[in-house]
Amino acid sequence: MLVNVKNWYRPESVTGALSVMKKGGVIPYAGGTSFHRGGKITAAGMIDLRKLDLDFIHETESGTTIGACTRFKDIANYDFTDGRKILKEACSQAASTSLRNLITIGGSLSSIPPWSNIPAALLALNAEIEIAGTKASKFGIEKFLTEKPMDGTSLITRIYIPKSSGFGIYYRYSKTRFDYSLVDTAVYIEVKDEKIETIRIAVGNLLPKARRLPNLEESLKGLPINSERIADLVDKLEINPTSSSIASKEFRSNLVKVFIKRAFKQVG
Amino acid sequence: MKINLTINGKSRTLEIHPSETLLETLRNNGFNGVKFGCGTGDCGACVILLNGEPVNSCQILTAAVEAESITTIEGIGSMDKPHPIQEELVKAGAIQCGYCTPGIVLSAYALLKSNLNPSIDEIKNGIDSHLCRCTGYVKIIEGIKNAAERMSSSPKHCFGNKSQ
Ligand SMILES: Cc1cc2nc3c(=O)[nH]c(=O)nc-3n(C[C@H](O)[C@H](O)[C@H](O)COP(=O)(O)OP(=O)(O)OC[C@H]3O[C@@H](n4cnc5c(N)ncnc54)[C@H](O)[C@@H]3O)c2cc1C
Ligand code: FES
Ligand code: FES
Repeated sequence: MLVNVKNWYRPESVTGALSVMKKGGVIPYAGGTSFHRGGKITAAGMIDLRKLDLDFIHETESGTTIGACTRFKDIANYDFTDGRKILKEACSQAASTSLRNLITIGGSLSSIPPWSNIPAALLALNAEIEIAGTKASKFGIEKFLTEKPMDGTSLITRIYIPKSSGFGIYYRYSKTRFDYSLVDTAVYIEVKDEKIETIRIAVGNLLPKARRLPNLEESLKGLPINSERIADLVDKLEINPTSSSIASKEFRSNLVKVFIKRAFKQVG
Repeated sequence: MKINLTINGKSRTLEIHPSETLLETLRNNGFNGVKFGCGTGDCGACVILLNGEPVNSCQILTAAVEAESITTIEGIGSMDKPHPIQEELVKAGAIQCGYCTPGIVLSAYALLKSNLNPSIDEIKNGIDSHLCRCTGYVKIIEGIKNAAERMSSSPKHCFGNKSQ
């Protein structure tokens, strides 16, 4: 419920937005899709981020920089050619066509609903999140998800995705095309001399918080990419997903294993 | 607060409350083709075109779309002059209660404007925001496919200005 919202601010710069936020009682508005699911918004004002020029995707020497207000639609349409296409896939499969025209990457990182498809993708890509304001800093994605630094006087401004010369694979499972996913899995693999050199596996939607699987990653490193041991090691993965009326723990945990094995088959 | 918008090609200045959704603003101003279904982004009944792109108007606060361009079903076709997409949906038997139809027509319009030869999968993706409680989608997809074929012979007459 937004009945308390009485003021609307349209700053034209990040500094302008932060100075309104400092006064308190206001919240940022990006895609706006998180405000209509019940729950009361106590803020009396909204700061519109749509005119801050934070909707862009730039290439730099080290990778891709994405403005916080970039919509899923624009990321889904962007031509990522290397492992970064994990993010393109995540954004093109999330929600629905009309919602992807609204939802922003920054809004998704600030609210992080358990069904969000952004955290797993960014974990597998080792992304960094830039924040301006009282918590101004660049956070590695894992630290960002653990510390949840958004404090009402900071703004997410940019997301950095390092160049990712390896393979990027992303899977999302939902019961119908437009439904919250029960599991999403992002796998990034670099292969050298037929062996797994770098591996990052991240899972989302089935635990309270998306996370990497460091033990499994460690055990897979150095194995030949076609090794039969990969499937055995993945089968041994112990993960304790939440269960719900539509998906049991066993079903979700099995899905993750199937997705990870499928990713290796795709690469091998 | 006041807001300036273009609705169906006409400039409008409207008095709104900062907490008002675009769905509420449009319906309060006589654009009743925009339907309220769920209010949570799940059903697609409220879909309109914002700068030519389908969006859920129940998910947008009107204050956020200052100076932007909106197209509702009223800007696409009328009883006297229905749009080919509307005609083909009728012919295909894709309309029963019709509650989902305005949103679906607008999503189909945006899809066909960028792709007049969509595959069945592309049509399914293009209307993935919409729930229809009556028809079961097969006829909706058929109607959109037929509209695409018909419109590809004279696309210029089927699409309005750039922002639609
Ligand atoms: C029906 C439905 C289905 C959905 N399905 C999916 C799905 O399958 N996968 C998925 O990934 N997402 C999905 N979403 C989107 C998700 O639930 C959130 O609504 C969305 O991620 C919020 O992004 P937004 O840009 O709309 O942010 P907003 O709603 O504008 O903001 C979200 C929060 O972040 C704050 N905020 C916004 N931008 C910033 C910023 N730059 N810095 C600091 N704070 C900020 C706001 O104040 C607010 O508290 C779905 C949404 C709906 C309505
Ligand atoms: S009323 Fe907007 S999606 Fe249902
Ligand atoms: S025709 Fe009734 S909901 Fe679609």
